[in-house]
Amino acid sequence: MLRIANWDHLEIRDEKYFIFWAEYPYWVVVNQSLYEILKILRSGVERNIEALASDLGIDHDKLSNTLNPLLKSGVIYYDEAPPNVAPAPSSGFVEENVGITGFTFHLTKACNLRCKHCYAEAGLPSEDELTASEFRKILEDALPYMNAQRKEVGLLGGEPLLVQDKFFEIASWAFNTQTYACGTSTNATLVTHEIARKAKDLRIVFQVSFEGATEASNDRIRGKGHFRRAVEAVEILRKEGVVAGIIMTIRQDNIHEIPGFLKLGVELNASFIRTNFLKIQGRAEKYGLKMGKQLDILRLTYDAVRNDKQLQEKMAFSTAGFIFSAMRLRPKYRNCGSGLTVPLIDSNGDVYPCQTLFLPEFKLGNVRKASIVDIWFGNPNTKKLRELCVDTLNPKCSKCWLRYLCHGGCRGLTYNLTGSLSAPDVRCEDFQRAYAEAAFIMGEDPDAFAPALSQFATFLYPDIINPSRSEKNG
Amino acid sequence: MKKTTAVPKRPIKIEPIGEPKVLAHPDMIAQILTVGEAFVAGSYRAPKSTVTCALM
Repeated sequence: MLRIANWDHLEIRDEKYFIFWAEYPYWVVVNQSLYEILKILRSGVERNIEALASDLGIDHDKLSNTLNPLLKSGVIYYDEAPPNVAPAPSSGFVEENVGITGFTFHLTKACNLRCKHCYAEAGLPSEDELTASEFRKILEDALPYMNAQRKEVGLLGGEPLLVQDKFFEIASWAFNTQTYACGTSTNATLVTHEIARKAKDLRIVFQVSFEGATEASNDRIRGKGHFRRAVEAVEILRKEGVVAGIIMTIRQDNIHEIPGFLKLGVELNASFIRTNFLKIQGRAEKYGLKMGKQLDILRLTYDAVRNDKQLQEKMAFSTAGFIFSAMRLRPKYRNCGSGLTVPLIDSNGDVYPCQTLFLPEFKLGNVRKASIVDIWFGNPNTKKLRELCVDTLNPKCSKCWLRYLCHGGCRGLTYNLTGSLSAPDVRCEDFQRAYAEAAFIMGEDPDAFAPALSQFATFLYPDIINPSRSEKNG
Repeated sequence: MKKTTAVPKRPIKIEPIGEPKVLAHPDMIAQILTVGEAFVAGSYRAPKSTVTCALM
């Protein structure tokens, strides 16, 4: 007999039915006719497909084809017992899979700007900052413990180009040893043709930060003159052949500029265009800046790029691109990954679980006193973070239909705003609305943001993902 | 195909409204399988990476 697993969420709009099964996780958007059939199945009638088709006066093959994706997914199944829910791709929650996949380095705390949203509150350099060899040692020490195919290091600051010698020494070592792919996030004020040429040779991905689509809105946060300089820098980087994209942190007061920002990305021929959420810590907290809503970001972005597949591909790692891809790939994450895969190393050698738990109470150790391996795998606090699981995080999350896609949201943001590591993310309902919106959009436009998916798998420099394809190795 | 001779225990009362249709589901586009396989194989780390740290 045909059975159907109980769904965890149903939302109806304009006779379209969005149904979500949390455990699988799986979802469909169906028309009213199919919804009625699924309801019949859920009522427990004793039918196989043939009998059901016959009772409903529907062609058997047509019904069979229609139900096929649901049968394949396992939410519809034969006989009494539901199939074991497939072990969906995991973030590495299982202890034996825990491994470092990359690093975030704050190369320096020095910055030539004083942006109002800076989570690191960068400005003057820290005392006794790590040298290039000390940063390199971290990368070397971690290598035997890394199981990711693609290992990444983010060379951040402060402003990383204020310490160019350190920046290029680490990047050269990573490239020459073919061990790590390097990326940087920069305010770009110091970019020159010479820097761009070196970056191209070393395959460093550049991400240039903007805070608005116009000079007025950007410079209000980043300071007078930044917009023009950043535009010029992207032009230089692209002219020299560097993979260089732009990013805007979305706030309540710049969200309406998303379409303009995408336009700017096209005009600059940016390699990628991203939007990111505001980390409410550091100066962002002090200035009382507010986050933009996920639903609004998704809708504004989709409306701006719906007819432009190339732009959708460039936006793979934007908020909207991420939501659409997560809905398709359905990774069954059980936590946010803090303390799991990407250590943050501050400029003075202090180690933190991630960028959003960059707080004194979450300091795990210092690489001048112990090796990164001992700190990362031996500190009881990282173990505690790894054990956070959306199934037991709090009563709200453990029952939520979206729990494995949202994985409880960002623990760092939650801790900053609520003082609790296990409270629901403040964006909870906003996430639910945004994911449902993405499903309904795909109900109208099944290929929405489909090009973004390939980016998730291939990334930006295929020859670094797979060293055997690199020029260096022939 | 199994159990093709099922006898309905309860009648189905509703009339079909029209052609039943799945309007969208996760595997609807052609690229999915390849990317999904990459994901299962462990090479998919985008949301946790630094350079590509989208974080929603």
